[in-house]
Amino acid sequence: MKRLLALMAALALIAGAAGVRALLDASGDDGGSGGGGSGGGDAAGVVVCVPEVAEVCRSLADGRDLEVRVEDDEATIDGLRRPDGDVGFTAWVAPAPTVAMAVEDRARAGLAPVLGEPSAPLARSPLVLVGWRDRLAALEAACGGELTWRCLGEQADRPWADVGGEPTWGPVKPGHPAPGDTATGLLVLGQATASWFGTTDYASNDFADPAFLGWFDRLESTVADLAPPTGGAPLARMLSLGPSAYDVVGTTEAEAGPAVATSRDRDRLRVLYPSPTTTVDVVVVGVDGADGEAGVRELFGSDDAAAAFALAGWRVPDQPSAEGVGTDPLPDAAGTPAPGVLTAVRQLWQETIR
Amino acid sequence: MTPRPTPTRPTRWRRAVAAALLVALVAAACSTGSDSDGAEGADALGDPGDCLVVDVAVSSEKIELLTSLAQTFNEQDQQVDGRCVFVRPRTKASGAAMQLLADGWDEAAEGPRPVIWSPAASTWGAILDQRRAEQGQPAMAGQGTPFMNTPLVIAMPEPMAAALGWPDEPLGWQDVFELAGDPQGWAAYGHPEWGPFRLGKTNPNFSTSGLSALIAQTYAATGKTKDLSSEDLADPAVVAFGTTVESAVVHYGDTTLTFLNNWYRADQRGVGLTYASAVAVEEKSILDYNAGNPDGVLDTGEQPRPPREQLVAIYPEEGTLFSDNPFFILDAEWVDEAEARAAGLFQDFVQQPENQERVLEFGFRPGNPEVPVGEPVVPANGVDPDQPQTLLQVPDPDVMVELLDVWARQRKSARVLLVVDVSGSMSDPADPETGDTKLDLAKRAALDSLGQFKPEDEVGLRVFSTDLGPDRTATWLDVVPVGPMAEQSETMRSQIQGLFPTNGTPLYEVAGTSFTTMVEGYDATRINAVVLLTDGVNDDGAPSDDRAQLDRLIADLEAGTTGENATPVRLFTIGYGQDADFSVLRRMAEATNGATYNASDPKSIQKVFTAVVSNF
Repeated sequence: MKRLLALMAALALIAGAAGVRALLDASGDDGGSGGGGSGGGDAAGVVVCVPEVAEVCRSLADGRDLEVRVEDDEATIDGLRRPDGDVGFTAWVAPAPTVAMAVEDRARAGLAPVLGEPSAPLARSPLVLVGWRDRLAALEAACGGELTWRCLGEQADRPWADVGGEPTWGPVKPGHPAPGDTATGLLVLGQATASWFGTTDYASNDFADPAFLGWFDRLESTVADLAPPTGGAPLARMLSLGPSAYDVVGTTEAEAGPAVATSRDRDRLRVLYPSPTTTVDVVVVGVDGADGEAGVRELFGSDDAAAAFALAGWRVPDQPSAEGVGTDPLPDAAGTPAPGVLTAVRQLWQETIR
Repeated sequence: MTPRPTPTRPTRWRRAVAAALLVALVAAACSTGSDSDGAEGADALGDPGDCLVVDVAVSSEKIELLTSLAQTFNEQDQQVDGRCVFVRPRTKASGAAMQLLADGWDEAAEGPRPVIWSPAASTWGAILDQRRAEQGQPAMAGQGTPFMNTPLVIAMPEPMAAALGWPDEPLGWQDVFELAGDPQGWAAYGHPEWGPFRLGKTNPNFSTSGLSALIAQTYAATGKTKDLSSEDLADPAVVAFGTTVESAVVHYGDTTLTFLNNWYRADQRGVGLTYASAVAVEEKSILDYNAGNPDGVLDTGEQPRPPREQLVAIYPEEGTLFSDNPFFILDAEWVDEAEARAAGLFQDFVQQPENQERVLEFGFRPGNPEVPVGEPVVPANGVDPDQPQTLLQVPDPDVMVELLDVWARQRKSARVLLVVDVSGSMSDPADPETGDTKLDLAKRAALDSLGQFKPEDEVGLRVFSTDLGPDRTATWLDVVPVGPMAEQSETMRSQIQGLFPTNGTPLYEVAGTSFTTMVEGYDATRINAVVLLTDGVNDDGAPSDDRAQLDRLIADLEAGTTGENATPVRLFTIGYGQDADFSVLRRMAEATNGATYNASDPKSIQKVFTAVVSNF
């Protein structure tokens, strides 16, 4: 009987996950819907935002009765596990896969849904690699012409002298935000893992491959060892301290494009768009029944929001691109693994670097 | 204010944080010298009136810059909720501030609790939050914003660096090791006139630079840039590497400024190359030195004069560490939402490009990556903005404990004569609350400092006054002759405890004879030094020849100290109490490339004695 119940629960979870995924895929056009209009003037309540969009949230809340709470996605997902559904906020602005993970997480725990339907993507940003030109050139040569996360993981921590670089560069030093608590970090790691498997359609049972585990451990142990002691963004550290801190860092184009374009070292840096292309698609989702959630969703779908996202380096249709942000078309699909797989990636990461 | 999230990070990501904890605690517990505390910045800014005050605790190297920036900011009349904002920086040593924030900040004793804290490096913020986490408390520092950066480098006079192949050849700790172990010294590089290779390194138990240098040299011995292990430290080759490098040390100490000031004075006399060959310092110190301002502070009327021989920065090819001087807006109970917003305004202000350009004036690299690293951080000033190439990982805490233990055994041994003034004035009351005399406090400090010596060190105790000895004609007595601590530690203790005040202060005579005693028994394998504590001016009963006596003494001290074949005995003087002759003590110390210490407040003698003994 227990097995039967477990099987039914598993099927329900798979169905739920597939539904969320279908929702995301259906909404994955080039640049998001935006929603249009300049509504949201009476938006009120508490909006939770991932740090990646904190500035956008604050600018929209300015002059409104809207409190902005900035927290890492893992903290919000933790809060959404409350059985009573009292999550303490009105709406959440986060990458679509993160929202889907929270939904699935709650469903897996057998709890009633608390979040409404996520919006179509408000803004998008492809994941990129930022590196020092001379080191990227050496890596590309070592990787057969194209730098992929798979190859980067294979070279991580190897002496540069063995990779075609200068001995004084020390070991190969890759970085990305922490996957344990940041959405960008997890999506970068999801992209890196997809690079190893050669597809985004991988599953957690694929992780048993010893070759994969060895690669994963090599990459993430190196990244963890290089992490700033107080946390924070590896890209900021790389730009502030120079090539001694990192050789190459993975993050969103929204963070990297403007930062590199205005950096004192812009002539020494390059931004790559590694394959498979993955985009971070930001959505807003209201808490079912929360006062003012419709107003908050309307605000984040407004022209004001579109302009704020674009100003912050995100790609939004019909909005001018910020300095350093590309204009080439993005694929319709975000290219991210399924939400449950991302949860498994996060768990694997935690087990690996513990 | 809105609480910050406290994400749960897996152990590995906290590694650097935990690792730095022990290191910082060691340094913080003993923080003295250049990183002293004070309110000089705040006092210069005037009365805040009714403005919203943002107190800023900053490490000493940036108090001048931040005070200047605060002044400009305060004049802009920026407002929060209709109130003007007034920023008030105060000096607070990084380690001391961390401990106060972790354990409770007593405003009556320590001054106002800060809204912004800017220690020397981000690791201090991580340490604070780690300590609070261990106490079940939320993070207080969180993620800092780097204000300005400077890497640890090996400073070397340009001719010496060039002899090693600089700037074409990458150099590092391996080169230091080879030079330190070569009995020919600089003669192996065609320069016998430079004598042996002499290295300046601060004590890793007291100085962040010293600790960073120890980490870097040990990594260099292993060929690693991370994951330093206990097995590495036990490797005979690593032990030999460390012992050899330490054998070249001139002396240790709590601050790099002692080396830089001595080097500069020696340079002005044309003998800079025989004082030291290399010193581990922050990059900004090289810029200060080359600008003719070795301690980074221009006193009233002081004109910077470039040295004869410029220093150049060797960025160790094996890797190095950075100081990033972050701003932490504290998430503390005493910081309200308005103060936090006001602090944010000041943080934004200091990050503005025009203000970030000002950090360059002080020899730091801008924390804001939009601001180019330019003058004075340019090759013409002996530094390279494209360096360093590799950062080193801070070792695990248990490895760090072991590293310091290993260093304590392999550091260069010392041969030290403690010379203590027992003149009548040492019986003056020093602490009205306890009734302790100056001599009581000095004895206690001396006794406590004995623990800093290792068994292999040779230490002796000499007292001086007038009318000493059986026939009351001696001016000094060797109550414990210089000998191994392992054999005479208890004798030292009992003799120090038995000291009592007597008559006059034959300062010049005893300084000269003590120096001569140590020169006669000079041991090239040790740090040879005299530590002289006195509370008064020279008083030998014959004042008419004092001036001539002092001139002869200074000349003798200098003659014994300079030249490639010198037998350098360093004189470390302690001016104790308000009546000490501080200027004479400084001259005597500087003549031997030692250092002078100010204990004009007798209650500071414990701290000062600890700092003095950190030289060994």
